[in-house]
Amino acid sequence: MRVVLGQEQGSEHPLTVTTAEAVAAFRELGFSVANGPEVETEFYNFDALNIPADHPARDMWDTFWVKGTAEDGSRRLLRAHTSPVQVRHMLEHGAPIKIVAPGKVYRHEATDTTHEAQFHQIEGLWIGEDVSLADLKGVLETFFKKFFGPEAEIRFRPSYFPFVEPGVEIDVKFGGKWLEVMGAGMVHASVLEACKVDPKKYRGFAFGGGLDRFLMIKRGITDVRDVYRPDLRFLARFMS
Amino acid sequence: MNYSKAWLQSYLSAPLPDDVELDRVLSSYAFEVESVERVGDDSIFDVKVLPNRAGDCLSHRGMARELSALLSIPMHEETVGTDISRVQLPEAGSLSVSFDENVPCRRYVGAVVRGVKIAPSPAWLVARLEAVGQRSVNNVVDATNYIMLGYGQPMHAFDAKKLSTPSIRVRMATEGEMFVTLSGEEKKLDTRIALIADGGTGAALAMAGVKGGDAAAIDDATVDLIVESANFDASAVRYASRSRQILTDSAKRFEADLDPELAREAMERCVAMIVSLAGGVVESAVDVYPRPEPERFVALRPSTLKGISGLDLPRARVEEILKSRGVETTMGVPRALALGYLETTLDAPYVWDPSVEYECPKSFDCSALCAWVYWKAGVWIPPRKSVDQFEYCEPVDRADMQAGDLIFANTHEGTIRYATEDWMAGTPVPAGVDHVGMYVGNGVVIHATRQYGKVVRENLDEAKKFADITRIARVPGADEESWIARIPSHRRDLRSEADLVEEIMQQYGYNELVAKPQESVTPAALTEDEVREEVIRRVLRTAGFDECLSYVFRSNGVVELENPLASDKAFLRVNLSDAMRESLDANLQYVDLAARPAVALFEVGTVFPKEGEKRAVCFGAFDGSKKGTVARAMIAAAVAGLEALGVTVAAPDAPSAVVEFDAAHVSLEKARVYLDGTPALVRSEIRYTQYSPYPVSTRDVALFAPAAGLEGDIAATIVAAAGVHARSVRLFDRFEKSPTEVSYGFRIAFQADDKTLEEADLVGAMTAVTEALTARGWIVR
Repeated sequence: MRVVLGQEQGSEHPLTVTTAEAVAAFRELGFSVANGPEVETEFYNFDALNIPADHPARDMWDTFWVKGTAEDGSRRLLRAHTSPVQVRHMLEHGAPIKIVAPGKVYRHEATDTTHEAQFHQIEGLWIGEDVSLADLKGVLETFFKKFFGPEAEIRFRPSYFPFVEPGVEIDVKFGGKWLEVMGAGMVHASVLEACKVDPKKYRGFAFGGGLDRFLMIKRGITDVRDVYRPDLRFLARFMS
Repeated sequence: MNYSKAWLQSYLSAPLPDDVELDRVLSSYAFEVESVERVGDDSIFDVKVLPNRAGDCLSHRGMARELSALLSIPMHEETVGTDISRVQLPEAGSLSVSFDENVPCRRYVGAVVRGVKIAPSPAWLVARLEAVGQRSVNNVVDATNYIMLGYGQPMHAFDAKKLSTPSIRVRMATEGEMFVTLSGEEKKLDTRIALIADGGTGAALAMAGVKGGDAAAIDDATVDLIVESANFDASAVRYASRSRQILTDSAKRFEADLDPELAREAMERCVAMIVSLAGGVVESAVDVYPRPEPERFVALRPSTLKGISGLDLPRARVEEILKSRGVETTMGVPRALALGYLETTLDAPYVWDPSVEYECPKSFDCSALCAWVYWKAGVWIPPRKSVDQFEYCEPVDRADMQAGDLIFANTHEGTIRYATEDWMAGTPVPAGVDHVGMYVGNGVVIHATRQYGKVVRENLDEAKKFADITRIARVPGADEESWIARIPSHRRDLRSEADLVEEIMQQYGYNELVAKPQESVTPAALTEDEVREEVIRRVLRTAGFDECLSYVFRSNGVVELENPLASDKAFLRVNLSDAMRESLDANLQYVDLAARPAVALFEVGTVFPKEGEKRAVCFGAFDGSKKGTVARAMIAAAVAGLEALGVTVAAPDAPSAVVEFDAAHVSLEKARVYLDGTPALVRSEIRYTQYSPYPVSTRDVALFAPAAGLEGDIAATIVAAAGVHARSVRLFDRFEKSPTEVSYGFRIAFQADDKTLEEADLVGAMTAVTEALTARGWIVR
């Protein structure tokens, strides 16, 4: 029951809250924020990430293609993940790198309670001379305990993404259940090389997770589509 | 893919664990199990094989191999209701197979089986196929499918009598060539698609690796077969399959880069099975395999394993894990091994640009020689160009030169390269390079050179090609004693140290990773975009606006999608205002539910004009009244707040206003001042409960109370009395007639979770409210 006796401040969208909390937690671990465009090219979204055309791994991303071509002749698309930000950042700044990139991504798929054609991810990339899976586990454990609470546990399971090797899936135990929340792994040498970072000298990890999913888990939202509907009935649920 | 547990068991010499444990082992150490279903005495596991393992695990034997490693259960020959042990194929016979030039066919094993009798399959075979979702057709077709599902090799059987001669030709389709598949679909092909054709007439029999045609299909009258067990290039099959929308089990396997070594074994088993089920004799066989797969080695450095995993794994454990996965290891120093291989190459002919994997050591050029000897030792260096090797390897002083180091030279003849091409393409190499050889000690170099037409040993000081040495360099990773891992042919995904580390870590268990404690640091400064968007949110929230998100796909715009989800979602939004206007209208009915004085919303988001994309901000307010007094006041407050950030926007003079501006217009300097000078706003951490889809009803109550400052007390009284359907109570009016006579107006919103409220519900609730207020001595008007 809302009781309002005077003039109130407006509310923040819950996804803004989640994004800010996630970013703040990573910032405390030394990550800074990077961004990139949502209309991307095939090069940044796929080729530079070790996902060549006519490769079965492309099936992992149902892609929206955008009419017209980019200046370099590359096909245009709506980024299917925030990973192109990694590529842009490496090409622009070189190593070492410690960034997170929150942002909107797109998948060409039918929508239902757990799938949206537009949603948000947060990507992380840490490249240095001595970065290992032990750091990945340390960073994510710290992050998820901060984000979901000290009782949160994480586990790694085998997985595959073309731009990492080894690749893992990250589950978080929250509310007594194991939930799949992230993909991660050590950045593939081919990706480093394509991004002009010498894999003989540097290694590191990348991770990516759905901010909408973090939000849904933490705040108990059951239909992702509500997040993207400008509906006061939904928004009012977060007003004190 | 669906796996039958009984089928998996038939390759394994000890019982598999129960379904729950098998599910746990697979999920934790290998692949996600989508479902487990009991079917009779069997259990069907639907396992989501990871894309990098589709080449070896999309078969029962492949999955059994994985389980054998994970559960330490030895494998054996399959035990099954018929003979599928490998038979010796005849060396020759009537069948001929030919490849046109540049066809994407890596191997073609063909066999002729004469005198078969097409009949239904025996019950055990039908049951096994059907358990995993494969329909039984007849004994011959079922045998081919059984081999595919059992061993992973797609097979095909043609009716030999429907060919002009017993000959197969692999050729590319002509542009526009029509092909009719077994299931009767007509497909128009192009020159990137390979066909299996009648060697005599050239007529197409099958789309290579994708699907058979109806021209030589098996029918009940078939007596002679040509059986195919081939291997096709992964991307060629993928192109054919995807572009023509023929998604088959065969294409799925070839797309995954199937092991060419499997083709012959599968044929040996398949013809054995056909003969045992359908009779006949294997009359002839052909195996065309132009580029046999080489033995492959990867040198895994202990320092790499530790560097990636952060763990000190016991050496014996590493070797045990790799061995259980078919990867044999020995310890060795790659530099020494490479020098050993180098000695075997002397006098091999010089041929420019050979494939290191497939054409060496038959011939070499200068860079291929250096790449090949190290590749044999398990260490990769850029194979094709000396300039790339120059940049890849670590420079050393000539005084420190050791046997196994590479010597780069500029011969000043022909093409000298001054920048890398394949490795970190474009890196400048000012000294210029066009030749490379390997130092073997005592002032001697071994190199492949056009000058002598072969691999030669020369004194470095006398070698003409090395008159101008531009660098001595060391091959990275060649000096550490490493596991020299021999990669089994079916593991085409194991090509680098990182691949082997993954292989080890999966089985060792990622849960054994030790989290490295991370230090908290002073956070990096906010980015400019973050600063701007943070202050925008604060200003607009302070003015009473609620943040919302809207959909990016619209029915109009300038950036258009090739494949929209729906025709009215074909464009990316050019502004936020269009959606905002819709939102203001749509939400007016919920303004009281939210206990807001007006619908006042804002959005910060990306918009897509013709050029580039940008962050935009939009806000709007609508109170539903003709005058729009409340909405106008809110807009005015927002406009004033933005003015302080250096953003000048004009609000339209209308009862429902929408304003949009570029986030970049916020003055960074003013934003920082604002950020430092104003406290952060309250952040809601409320847990969500699903809103009700039923309509909202509102009722007002006005009363006189004897003092100011009683609104909290009154509201509490209303809340206590209004019943379960009351959702919000908002003080919308207060007016002091005198210090002892104050008028309060409250609006109450009602909504049920499970029905539309009726008038009686509302009357009942409001009667209770009136009574409760009256009981407090307040005068309800």
